[in-house]
Amino acid sequence: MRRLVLLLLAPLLLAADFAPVKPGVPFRFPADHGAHPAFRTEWWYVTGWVQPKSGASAQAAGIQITFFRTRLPRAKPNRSRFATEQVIFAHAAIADPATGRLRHATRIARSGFGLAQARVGDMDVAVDDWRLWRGADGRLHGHVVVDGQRLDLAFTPRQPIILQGRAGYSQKGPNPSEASHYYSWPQLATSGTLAGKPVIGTAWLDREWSSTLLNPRAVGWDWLGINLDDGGALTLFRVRDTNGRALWAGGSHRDRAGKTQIFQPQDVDWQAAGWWKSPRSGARWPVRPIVRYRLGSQWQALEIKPLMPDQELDSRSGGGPLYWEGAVTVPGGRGYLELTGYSAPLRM
Amino acid sequence: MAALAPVATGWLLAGEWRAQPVRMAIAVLAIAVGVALGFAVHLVNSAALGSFGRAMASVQGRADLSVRAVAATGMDEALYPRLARLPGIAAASPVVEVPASWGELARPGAPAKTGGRFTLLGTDFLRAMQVTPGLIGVSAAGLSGVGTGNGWLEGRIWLSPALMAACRCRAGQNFRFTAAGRGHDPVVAGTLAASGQDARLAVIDIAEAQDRLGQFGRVQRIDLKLAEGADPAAITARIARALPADALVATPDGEASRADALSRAYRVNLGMLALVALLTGGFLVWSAQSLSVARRRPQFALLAVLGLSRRGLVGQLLVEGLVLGVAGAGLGLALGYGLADLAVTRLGGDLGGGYFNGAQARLAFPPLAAAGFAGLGLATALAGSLVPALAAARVPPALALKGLGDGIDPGRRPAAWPGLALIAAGTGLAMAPPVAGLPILAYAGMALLLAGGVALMPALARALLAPLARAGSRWLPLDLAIRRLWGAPQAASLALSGIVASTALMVAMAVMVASFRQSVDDWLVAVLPSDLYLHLEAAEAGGISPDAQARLMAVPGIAQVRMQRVMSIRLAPGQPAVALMAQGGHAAVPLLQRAGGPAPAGTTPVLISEPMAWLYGWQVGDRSTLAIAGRPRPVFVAGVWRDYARQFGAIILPLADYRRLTGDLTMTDAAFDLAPGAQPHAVQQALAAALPAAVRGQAQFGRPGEMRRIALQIFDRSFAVTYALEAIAILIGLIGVATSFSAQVLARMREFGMLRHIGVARGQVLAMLALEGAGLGLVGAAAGIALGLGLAIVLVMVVNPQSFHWTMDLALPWPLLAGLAAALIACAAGTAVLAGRRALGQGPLLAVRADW
Amino acid sequence: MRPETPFAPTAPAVRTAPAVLTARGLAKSVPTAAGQRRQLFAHVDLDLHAGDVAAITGESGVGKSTLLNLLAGLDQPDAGNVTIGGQALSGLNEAATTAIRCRHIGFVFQAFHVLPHLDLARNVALPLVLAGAAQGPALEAARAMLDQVGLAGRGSDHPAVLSGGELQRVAIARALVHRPPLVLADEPTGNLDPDTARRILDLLLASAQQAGSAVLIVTHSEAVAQAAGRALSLSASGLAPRAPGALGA
Repeated sequence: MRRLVLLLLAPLLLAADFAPVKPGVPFRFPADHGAHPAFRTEWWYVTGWVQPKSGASAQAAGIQITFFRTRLPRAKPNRSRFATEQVIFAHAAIADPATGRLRHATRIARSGFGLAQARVGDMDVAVDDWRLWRGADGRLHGHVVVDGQRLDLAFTPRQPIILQGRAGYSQKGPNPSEASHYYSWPQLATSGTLAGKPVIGTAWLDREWSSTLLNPRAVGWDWLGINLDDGGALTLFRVRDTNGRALWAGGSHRDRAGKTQIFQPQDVDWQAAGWWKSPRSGARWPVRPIVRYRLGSQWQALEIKPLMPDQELDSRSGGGPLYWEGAVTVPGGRGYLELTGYSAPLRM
Repeated sequence: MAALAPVATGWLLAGEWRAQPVRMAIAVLAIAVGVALGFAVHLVNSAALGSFGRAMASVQGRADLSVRAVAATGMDEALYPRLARLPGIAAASPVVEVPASWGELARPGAPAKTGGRFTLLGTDFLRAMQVTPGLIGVSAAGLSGVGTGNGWLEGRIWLSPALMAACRCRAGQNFRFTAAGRGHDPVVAGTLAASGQDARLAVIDIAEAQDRLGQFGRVQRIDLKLAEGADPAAITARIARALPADALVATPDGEASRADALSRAYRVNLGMLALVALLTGGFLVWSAQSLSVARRRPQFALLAVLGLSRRGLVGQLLVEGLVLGVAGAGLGLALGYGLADLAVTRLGGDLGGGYFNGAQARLAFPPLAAAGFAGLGLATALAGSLVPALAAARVPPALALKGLGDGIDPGRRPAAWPGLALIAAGTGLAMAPPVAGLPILAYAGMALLLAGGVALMPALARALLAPLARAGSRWLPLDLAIRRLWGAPQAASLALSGIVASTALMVAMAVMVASFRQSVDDWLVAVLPSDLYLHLEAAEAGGISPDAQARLMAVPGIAQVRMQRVMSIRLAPGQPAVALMAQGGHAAVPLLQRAGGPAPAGTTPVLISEPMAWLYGWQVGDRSTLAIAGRPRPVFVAGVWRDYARQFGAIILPLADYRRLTGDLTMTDAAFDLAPGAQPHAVQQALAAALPAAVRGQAQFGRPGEMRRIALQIFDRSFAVTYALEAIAILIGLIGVATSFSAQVLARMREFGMLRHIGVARGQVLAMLALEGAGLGLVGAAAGIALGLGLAIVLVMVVNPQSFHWTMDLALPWPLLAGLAAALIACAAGTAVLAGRRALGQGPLLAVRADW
Repeated sequence: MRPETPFAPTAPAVRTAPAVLTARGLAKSVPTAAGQRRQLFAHVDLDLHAGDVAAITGESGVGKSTLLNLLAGLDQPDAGNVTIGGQALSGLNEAATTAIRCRHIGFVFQAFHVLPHLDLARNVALPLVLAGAAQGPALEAARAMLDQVGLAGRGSDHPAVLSGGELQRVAIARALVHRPPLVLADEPTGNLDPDTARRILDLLLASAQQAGSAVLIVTHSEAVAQAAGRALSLSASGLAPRAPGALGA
């Protein structure tokens, strides 16, 4: 009991030390591709679909590479080189329908000694042998190893960045302080090798950094990022409370021409559906939610089909959460669906 | 017809048991004692080693490989990323590892106080999770502290179950301890995930460890996990090339062999002593069986006539030996287990040897070892029965039936050459070099010397008695006694062998222990010239700071202070660490050799101890290198000194040089010379008050007289087992003397009856027996003492130096030897008389009339 | 039956019976203190058939007991051979000789030679168990034999409580329990007083006749020699029949 209270209080107690998320902060690139060490949490989150270069798209697979940076403050100053405040951890997963479930791996280390770091100034985050960085040619590169299989990908941006929310200030809860700085980079042309075989595809980069992300009543969120076949990009999310109702919701839609609409909570209607129970953890995930969004004044419905039901990711052994992160298709687009907080309240 | 009819065998065995229950019981007991001692020593050794090994493995956390700093002060942490990036390494975990203590440490020789030693580790939890998961802390709720938002866990510490039990701490309480000369007081957060039940460990975050211990930039150890399918040998070689001078690769096997080497010589010696007991038991079986066979010769003749073939007879006697062996071995295993249990609970897992600090030994029953020792006991019993069996089968039944064939022919001279050959072979082996660091050949040589001495007994007895036999005596009993001894030396040798063997062994052990003790005492006087000594226990990582040193020196009543900084340093992987002693002032050690000239420029002069010279081959005048503070430093061997305290080597170098090279100004030991008129007790109290509070629990004061007394106490305790074995050897010998005498006397009942018939008085017969017994006792004691002195010389000059790498001066405990000889003679004469009284009591008529 | 041996027994009932013991040309010498050898006897021939009772007399020291040892296979002759039950002893190893002795010969000694720590029944049963018989039948046969020699029901007694005569009865029972074709007796009455001696001798001869065994007795005693069917005298030159009534010189 005492532990739970401490956990709930911890964000408030420690929030005083962290940089707050405020609206009106301008984004500067390439600096904002890099790390923001003063904030408590930050991630670089790449998802995408790839298929063999010389093959049918029926052999397509989903890939996910995520690097997290967490800041854990220290109570006393300490001259030791081990006394860093930043912990870098990363997940990578390959969703191959031939396997039936995700193949995934994790890395975690405290920053320092050149073995793990998230650089400030440009995108270059690495932990041990995994790395995600922006090259001099402006392309993003990712190198991870999953279950002995190497994943070397290059992501070429074809479209500009989307600043989510209000010019990058994305509210996540009823309280204005519950927000993050958030931008997305959709429609990244992908090429590289997966386990030695050349692949091509399309990817999506999500970047967020924050110190107080979630409302205390929030237990988790659902997020959807779709690269539309016609060149557009759709982002939808909602934050849920214990009863499964939306505490907040939002997202954005940008069409091929670049016209962008930012959704307000009342523009998103998300119903959990298509429950699938994990044979391993026993958690139930709504992998075919019924989602509607209001584009302009028209409500659009979205039929979401996962590549396969079992795309559950268990990182609890490393101190992370249990969540569902899967490649999905919708009519007219492909992307990723993320479901969190369905087995235990998510703590960020 | 079967060569060995089972029914007949059973009847004859049962008959023999009814006839001679005491003799058979004593033979069984002799085997049992030998097996029990050997088994007990083995059990205690494996229990202690096993728990020590487990404790060490727990401290290491079962990594695939470790890179360790050679000294407790650590190595550069920049090695960590270099190793992590090497191909073939899946993960690397840096570890700070220092000795620490809590509470008040017990002084040697005094009962344990409320304190103890443990090992403090600082780990990076995220790395340790991958490489050594056993060292991860779990809170009371069972959750690890990683990444759940609890932060860096500053001010928290995790204790192993053994440490929690020893210091009686619980999660949530503060744990106060001393490390690197400072006091610390973190909160206990929980216990370690999987560190086993043996080791006393505590784990904190590595950044906090470096901060608390003032050890920025240094770690003591980097644990490595190898990639799948990696070749360990190739990776070890690659790592070794990347290491600086002050780091070594430590493989689990290397660490295990280091733990093994720490106490191997001691254990082997204990094991040898136990085998000695078994050997003495074998002698007893041999003499018991020989006498039994001699007594039953006419019975065997009858059985041969009735239809027992020679093979059948040998088989029959071997079955008797087998039954003795099985009974003795079974009893011995049970006795041995009980003995081991008692020894471990009373004396500790190292039987007082001081090798396994803080490890609780748990006894297990190893079926294979038990079978081995049972087999040894069986083999001894069979061997002891084989020679008499073969001898019995050789006698033609026709002769034996008539009561002839006793084999006594005074005309025949007993051959001396087998005994002399054995003694020569034994002497040769005793001078052989060690095998695998152990004096195996010297032990074999001792066994041959013993066998040779015993084999020489008949010829020796005859040679010693020949002049007396020629001279004769007017006193009838003496005359008869001399003629019997001279005429029947083989019969005498049966009784003598037991005396000689056990006397020789006892004398050898007594002389070795006396020499050792005297040498240690002399050495203690030489190395403790000052009036008061201060020692900090568990202070390898750091001791008393210069400010505190100044305060100590300012205490009134002190004329002079010699400071010392002591730590361990590893010179070779797989070898136990060497003590590095940086001494201020003039080194007070007894030098055995000294270099001719001064040290060459640029080198540091060092004095090495005798074991160090032996183990590492360094000689006086050699130039070598020592890894101090990260780089190899040239050193010059200026002398070799005698050291009994550190079996694996010690190096003395000047304190000023050490401080200059390392920048470490702390001190862990000091020797105070008091001003005339100063009171030692008052000065000690003043010094204790002047010590920093953090190290008070680690500080131990001592005065030379008291320290000598305690050291000798520890010496006696560690030789307690040897003393016990000596006593048992003597007891077995005396029992052998008693039984063989009584058997021989009973066998000669007819002879006594005849003597009484022709007019010899009862008292004169008894006097004759007493003189026979005394004569045999005298010959046996003299031969035993002479043989024992020879064995002692082998022990002192060969076995001890080869085992422990130090030399000692021979010292003979004359009062003990004289007392032993007197006791033997008295016992031999006494038992002969007692048996004679029993034999004569039945009356002469009965004696002559008896069927047998 | 060998017609060229003039001293063969003439009782027609045994003429066709097989020879139990045959000795031809036995010679034996012993070493002296000076290292030389002294010839005890030579040219000793002997035939015994089932049911024969023969006594051998001679001077003391002439080697009567030695001859007995040769006949029992306990010693090797310098010359000549011994055949027992049709099997020649020469050329056999010690185990085979022992086996023959175990099955075909029973022994009675002057000094009783009873194992002191076995009871009477077990002492008597020794030849049977040494030959490999099981414990039950052997003890039964032993007790039957003890009945026959007049020690009925005393199978569980130990030799220490018996008199000399009783001990010799036990020896006789042991000699005959396995129904051997041949019984060798070395001075069987030597340690007994005259009355007991006579009774023991009668018992020995009656029991042997009942079992159908041949008996060869070595003795000083005139009475024993007379009680035997044949009397032979051993001298350095061999075995010769002795006139009844004349003591061995």
